[in-house]
Order: sequence, then structure tokens, then C-alpha cells
Amino acid sequence: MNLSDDSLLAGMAMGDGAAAAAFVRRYQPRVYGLARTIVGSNAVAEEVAQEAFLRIWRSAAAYDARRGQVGTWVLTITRNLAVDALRLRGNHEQPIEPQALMETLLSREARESRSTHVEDREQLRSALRALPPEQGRLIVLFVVYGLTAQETADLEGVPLGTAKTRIRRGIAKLREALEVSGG
Amino acid sequence: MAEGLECAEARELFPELAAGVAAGDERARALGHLSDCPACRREFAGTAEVVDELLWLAPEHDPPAGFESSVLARLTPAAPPRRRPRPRLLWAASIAAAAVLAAGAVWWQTADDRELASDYRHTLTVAHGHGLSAAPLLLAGGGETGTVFAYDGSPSWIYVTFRSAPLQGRYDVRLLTRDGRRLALRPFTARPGGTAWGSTIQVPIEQMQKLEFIRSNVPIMTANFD
Repeated sequence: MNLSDDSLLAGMAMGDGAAAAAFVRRYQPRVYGLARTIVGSNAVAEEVAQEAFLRIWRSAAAYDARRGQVGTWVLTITRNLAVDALRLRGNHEQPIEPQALMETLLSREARESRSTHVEDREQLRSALRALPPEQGRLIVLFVVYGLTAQETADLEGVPLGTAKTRIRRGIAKLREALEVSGG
Repeated sequence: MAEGLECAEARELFPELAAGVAAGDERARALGHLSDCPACRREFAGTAEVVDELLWLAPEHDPPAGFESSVLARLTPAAPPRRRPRPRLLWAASIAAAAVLAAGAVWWQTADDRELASDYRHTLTVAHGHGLSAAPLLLAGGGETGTVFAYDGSPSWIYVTFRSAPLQGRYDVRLLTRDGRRLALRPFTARPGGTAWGSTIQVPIEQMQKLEFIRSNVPIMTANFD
């Protein structure tokens, strides 16, 4: 039986190891993939992904289904841990090339066809690709690397106000694209 | 609420709030505005959706062989997730916390602190919160130096009683959540005779993992909610 994410989380909240196994099996390529994208190292990504599942297991009872998709919650936990791992290792000032990160995010994978919301994501990729490169870089640094607006401004060598405005307007354009895509 | 300066100010903060990188005070201000402004809640939901969707663009990748079994080996020996305290214990704990608050309120000397203490008493009386938890506050060397009470209500808050006045000076206070966030709370300035500190929090108490009092970037006192 293919249980929903919510059902698996409910099982995990009760300490059900079988639910945890199914959950890990379902999300491990996504969690490990995001961690690897951010930290750029297979070994560190594995540590981050393991820690993410441990956090999810411990927090399963506190998860509130009204807050949105389970997958988004899972990815946010993973992103935060990956960013922490970068900061702890002291190399956050020199993250992976923003342009390389952009190319990674903009490349559609064949395996993604089994995921949901594929069209939305392709629409988002098109919108991201259509942004001026400097604006796209700011947004991915900000969202994926968890940099503050000040840190993105420093990295890109622009004033804080400029960085904030570009991020805000860029996100608004991406939002328009998603709204058009979603009807 | 009509579009005004307050809305415009709050919307400036939405990208950082959605990305989880807003500073503690900005986060609190933005969330405070969102609680009163349906138009901004809709606007924020749109921003958050974009931020969330961007994380989904990272490519999937199979982890190394043995990953799944390693993860499960770490999960299964771990203690089962925490459950909410039983209502009767909650009630008893609430009475105890109210007594602690009444005693601790004597210490609130500044106007801000008095206002905060008043908020707490009002919350206990009126809000009928959802839960209460407590954890020992430990010194870096391992000795117990106080107790942290965490109250889940509207608003949620934490309140710390120290067994003796901590070393004088300013402490940064940081809350680590189970989903990996690090939230800066209002700083604590230890004064002679001061034996309590409190702050509202923006997360459910089940999400609390660790509270740290920090000086010169070193955690001096910590409480774990595992």
C-alpha cells in the first residue's frame, strides 16, 4: 500500500520503524540531492541527510499538516542543516559558484517525471532562466544557501538596498509565473 | 487592513521571513503584523510558495549504498518522539508556573519587563494555553543552575528561574528548533540579585530543542528539551 506522507509521519510519531523506513526510502534521493547541491561534498551531504531524517523522526509528532506539504517541510529542514554544516566548516563565505548552482537548478532531470508538480517546476525554471543573471544569482544564494540579504549583497558586490529590491522583485516575477502555471 | 506603511514595511521583510533568515526581532515584528492583516497573509503565502518551490529544483540523487540502513539504525534506538504532557500534570505544572511567575515578577524592574510579566500573568489567566514543559538549565561544566519553563499558548513563552544570580553582564539568548532554525531571543542582562528572565517565542514548544545563554560566542548555560 502506498501510504501518504501524512500517514507515514503519523506512524513515525508513534515510533513505528516500518513507517520510518518507508519515509526514508521515499525521500532519501530528494534529501540527499538537496544536501549535495548545497554542501558540494558527498560525505558531508550524507551526514546532513542522516541528521535531517533524525530531526524529522524526532519532530514528527509536532508536525502540523495545516502548514503545507510534508516534502517542503522536509526540504526546509535539510536546507537549514546543510547551511549549518557549511557555516560550521567555515567556508560559507565562498559557497559553490552561484552560476554553477543556477545551472544545476535549471537542469531538468529525467527522473523528475515521477514527481508531482512537474509542470509548475518547469514553469519556475523558465521564469528563473528569464531573470537577469545577477538577479537570479541573488535569489538562489538567498533561498538555497540561506544567506541573509546583507550576505548576498556583499557576495555580489551591490548595496544592501539593491540586493533586497532585486530579490523582492525577482521573487514577485517567479510568483507570477507560478500563478499563471497554476491557473 | 488597508495597504499602509505598516503593510509596506512588513512586505519588505517577507522574502527573508519566507527564507528563514530574518533576524529574531524582524521576524517577530513581521509575524505580529501577519497575525492582524489577512491581505499580507495572502501576500506572504505567495512569497513563501516561491521560496519553497525553489528548493524542489535541486536534483534528486541516490545516496551511497547503506545509507538507508545507517539512518534507520540511528532512528530506531532513539527515544520515541515526545508526547504532550497529560492534562492533569499540565494543570499542576501551570499552578506551579503561576507561583514561579508571581515570585519572579518582583524582579521585573524596568518598564519593559513589567509589561512582559503582565503579559504572562494575563496569558495564564485568560489564554488557557496548550501545554507546558520544563527543563533543567545547566552550566557548561554540567551543574544545574536553574529551570526553564516553556508555555505553549497565545503567545507562547519561556521563563527561566536561576538558583542564584548569574555572572553579571549581557547574555545573548538563542533558541534552536528541531527543524534546524536558530532564533535570537531578547538578550538577558544579569544584574545583582536578578534571578529570572523571560521572552515570548514564535514557535510551538514541541519545536524547541535547546535554549542557550551565550557570552562572547560561548554557550554558558544551556537547557535541552530532548
